[in-house]
Amino acid sequence: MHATKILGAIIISLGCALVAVAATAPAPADKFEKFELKVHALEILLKAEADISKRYDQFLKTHKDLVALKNGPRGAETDELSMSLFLDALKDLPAKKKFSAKKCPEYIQKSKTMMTGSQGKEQDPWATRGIQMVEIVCKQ
Amino acid sequence: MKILLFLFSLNAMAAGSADKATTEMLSPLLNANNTLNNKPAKPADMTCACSIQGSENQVTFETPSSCGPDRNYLQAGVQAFAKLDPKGNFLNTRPYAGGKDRVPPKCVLYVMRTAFRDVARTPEQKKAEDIQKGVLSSEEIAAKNYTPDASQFAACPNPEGEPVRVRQKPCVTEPYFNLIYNSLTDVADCLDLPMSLAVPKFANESGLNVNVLGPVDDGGVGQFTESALQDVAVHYPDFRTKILASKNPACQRLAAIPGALVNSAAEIRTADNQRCHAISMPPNPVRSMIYYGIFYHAMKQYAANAWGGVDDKLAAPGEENVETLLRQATAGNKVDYEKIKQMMFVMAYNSGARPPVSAFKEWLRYRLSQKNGKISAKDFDFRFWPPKGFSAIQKDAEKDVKAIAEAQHWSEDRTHREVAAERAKRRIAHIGAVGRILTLPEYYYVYQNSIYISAVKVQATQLDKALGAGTCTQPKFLEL
Repeated sequence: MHATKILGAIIISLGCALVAVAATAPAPADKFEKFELKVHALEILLKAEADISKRYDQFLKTHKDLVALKNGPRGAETDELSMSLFLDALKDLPAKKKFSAKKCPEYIQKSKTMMTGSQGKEQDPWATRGIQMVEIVCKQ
Repeated sequence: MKILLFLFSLNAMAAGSADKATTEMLSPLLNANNTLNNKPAKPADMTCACSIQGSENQVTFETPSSCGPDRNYLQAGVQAFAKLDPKGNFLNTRPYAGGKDRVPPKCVLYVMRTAFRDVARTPEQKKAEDIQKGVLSSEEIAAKNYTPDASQFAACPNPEGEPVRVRQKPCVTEPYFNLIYNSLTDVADCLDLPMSLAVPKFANESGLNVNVLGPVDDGGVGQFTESALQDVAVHYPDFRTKILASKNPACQRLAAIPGALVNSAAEIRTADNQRCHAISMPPNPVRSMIYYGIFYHAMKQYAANAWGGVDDKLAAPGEENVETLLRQATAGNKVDYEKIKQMMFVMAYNSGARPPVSAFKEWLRYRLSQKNGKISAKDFDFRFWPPKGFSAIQKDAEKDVKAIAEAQHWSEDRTHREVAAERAKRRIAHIGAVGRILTLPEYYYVYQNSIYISAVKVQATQLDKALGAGTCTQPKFLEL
């Protein structure tokens, strides 16, 4: 076989192999999937941690990552809004220095007040998940 | 059911002499010189560009005889109220004094007369209406699943207990109307509640009926849920102190009704099975109207905090505040920030204070990410209303996506995400917005399933049309 033909055949086979790999390998997680995975992992982590102070440290660490993800390139509108509602439900929790376990009922109540309507409108699942996150953080 | 039958039989017994009984009980009050200025009240202007049940160009009261016994079930409550109000402060007709943010009696009467059907329909009645309209084919009518209308009113056998649903709207007699109008006016005066903002909102909610009971047990003139009453309780002590200390005659009249101002926040019954606390008459509608005034101020504060982010404790580095985003997105176009804040406040009542602002900020970011996304006043046109069939999208999309999710064993998270995306996709197609940039009302509908501001705007437009522009509403209400 002519050298150029051999080279061509190799390139074609390599190309086919790459296409096959791309088709079978899972697509890289998008921004929202990453966000969701982090929230999910955090929920598990916090539920397993008995010490409220350590729990709050873990929460704050992931919160930073979640904010950074949200601030990344814009994704689908439904995803952006879900992330926004989740993060907004957490806004009643203070910085570490001002956090007090005694004030937990206040944080929970405030989050519910600010995120929930008075007329029983169906709550967005991510707003609810945010309120639940405050409850997990504050569990005594 | 037995209680209901008992109540109705009482009403039926009283009905034969209802007009006479009401007149006798209330005559000292209705005929007395007005206690507020010692002058007989002039008949109020009740003209309108409207037709209400055969009454042309005039908003009229109903009478026990025109309503029939089934709808006159509040008569006993009105009579009991009269005993607590010997001066007739609430049951008498007062002269309309006007003033900023005030609305004349005909606005309130129009809302009370036009909101809700007189009686919830049966499936047979709904079917008969469809046949009469002739819009649907006989096959479509045969295939349609007719269900009874929800019963949206309540009777209260126990003044602090569980309401019993009734199918009939109460009869809007003159004494009952006076109770509602004077309670609203005094709360407006005492607690600084702008009537011209509250009336279109009431038109969209309770229709200013004392005994409305919504689908989630939201009850009374303010349609209070458990969470709303809890909010009222938080702020109640301060307001109670202010009302009691006030020399404002409106505050003094409110405080003079026994039971209207409960002694402490702990006495506010918030549970669903105690909703009669905010419904039963007396001391309602005065009590629930006071609660509404308190709730209005609480919600206003929450909405202002959500807009300014002043209450946000947890820093989100890199997050722009709403006004920074708004300045970028308008890029020199003038829009009235105060009007936009009012829109968020109106929506807060329905969605909570923060979600409307969250969605507004996302809309601004979305517009900033679009070519030609620059915002102008026309992007805030809440005369928007989605075409017929929009409400079915919510459930249809969920059903279709969940069928796929089940077949393909999707996680709960993925299912939520796909349902949200599918709903948005269908709503965009439904409003004919594929491939174009969404306005704010469209964005709220597509991504939050909310047309609440539009619904209040519809009520304001209707009031303007029937009773004159700006008579019952603020100028350019909910528009820029």
